[in-house]
Amino acid sequence: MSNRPRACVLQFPGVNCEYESARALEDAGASAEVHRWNEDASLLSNFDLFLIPGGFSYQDRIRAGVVASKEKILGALAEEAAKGKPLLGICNGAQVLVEGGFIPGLRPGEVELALATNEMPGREGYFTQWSYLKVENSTPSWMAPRAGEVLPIPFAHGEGRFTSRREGLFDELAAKGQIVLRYCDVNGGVESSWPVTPNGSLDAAAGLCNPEGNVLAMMPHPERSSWLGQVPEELGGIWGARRREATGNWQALRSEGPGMVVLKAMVEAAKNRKVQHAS
Amino acid sequence: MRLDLRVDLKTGDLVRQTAIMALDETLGWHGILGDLRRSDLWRFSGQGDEFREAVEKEVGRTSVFVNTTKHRAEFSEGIWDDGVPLNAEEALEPARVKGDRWWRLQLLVTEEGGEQGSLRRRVQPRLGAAKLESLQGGVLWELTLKAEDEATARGALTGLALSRSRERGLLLNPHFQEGRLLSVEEVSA
Repeated sequence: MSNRPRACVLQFPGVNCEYESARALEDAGASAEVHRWNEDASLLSNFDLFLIPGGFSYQDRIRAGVVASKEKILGALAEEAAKGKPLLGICNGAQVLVEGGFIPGLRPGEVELALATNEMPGREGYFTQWSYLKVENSTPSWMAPRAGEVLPIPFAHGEGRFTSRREGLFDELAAKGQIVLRYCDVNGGVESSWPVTPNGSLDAAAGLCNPEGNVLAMMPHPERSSWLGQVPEELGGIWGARRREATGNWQALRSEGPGMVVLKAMVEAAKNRKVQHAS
Repeated sequence: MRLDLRVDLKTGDLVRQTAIMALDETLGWHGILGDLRRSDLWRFSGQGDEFREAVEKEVGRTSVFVNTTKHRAEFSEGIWDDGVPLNAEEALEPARVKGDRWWRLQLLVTEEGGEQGSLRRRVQPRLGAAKLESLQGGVLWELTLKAEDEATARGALTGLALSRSRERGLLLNPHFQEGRLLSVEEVSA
């Protein structure tokens, strides 16, 4: 029997990153399957970790992520997440987790914040670019072992602004370490203003976790920077340098990229959970 | 002067269909929700004798607001008003909505007041001497609901519109959107 954790990539109609997400999870050490939203929800209990990929579930009808967040299978997913299994929502997947009350999860199931329309000076709408993300210290997330690292990961969204009308919510989330990933410059300096934070997100938030740390919603796409060959040569920092050194070396170009750091940390958390439950 | 522009699809509206399915089949509003329609609503506020003519000309000659192949548009003066903000404390769950009278309610959903500053700056140069002081945009939802009285109908609207949890509310997220009830009227079955 394989000791690779079983990963479920949950596919809603309209998402478009399910297969590259599954492939990246395979390289991260999991055994990944794409599970459609209308398949038997009880099968989710067979998986060790979950990923809701990016795209446009239900064509973003009504509001990005909201229709998928109301699907019955989200109830089954919430039960699995409550067992401590790692769950990652990327971009549209993050919007589903926010609308579904998984994130920030202070009151599980309740909608406590929004991923709202980008706020960008002099422009509006969909925006895509590479961003630098700082993994924050003192987080309950499975990203904790990578605290302090700066990861260049691309984003592509029109509604990526973490915001809330609940007074003091982001201070509370910061104090609890739930703001796992913040937009930063190449040296790790966090700035909540444009262009470092590209969408007006409160407190430069790029990724939030629940209080237990096993659920993470992030707007940038780690699966699009999972291999070094996906990193642009002109990027700054150590990842840009690694990429330039790898030019012409196919083996090096297929080695781990910055997004793989996120996915490997998640798979590692699933392995650790399995070991704990087996002992 | 204020001009309101209501824009509807001539063809089937898939967003409307999806909203009906989610409310009816997933969120428990079957038997209470009679119908639901959706329009884009714009409010042009400005000055100048040529204001109305300039706005109508702009809307007619570009596809910024209306694509005539698929939209039907109508100008009026007074659909958009301040209305009554939705109050989460008045939200009713489907099980608490009884009665067999039908009500038509209009709900306007906007983001941050609906101000479309960047679009206004793009449109202004094409309006000549007419001054566009404000441009607001939102989504107008028109729902037909079954309820025993007007207060219950309002509570039902709030319950199905305002997203409070995974199982409750669909049409707006109160952390970045506002919902305002513009009108309620009883209609015949």
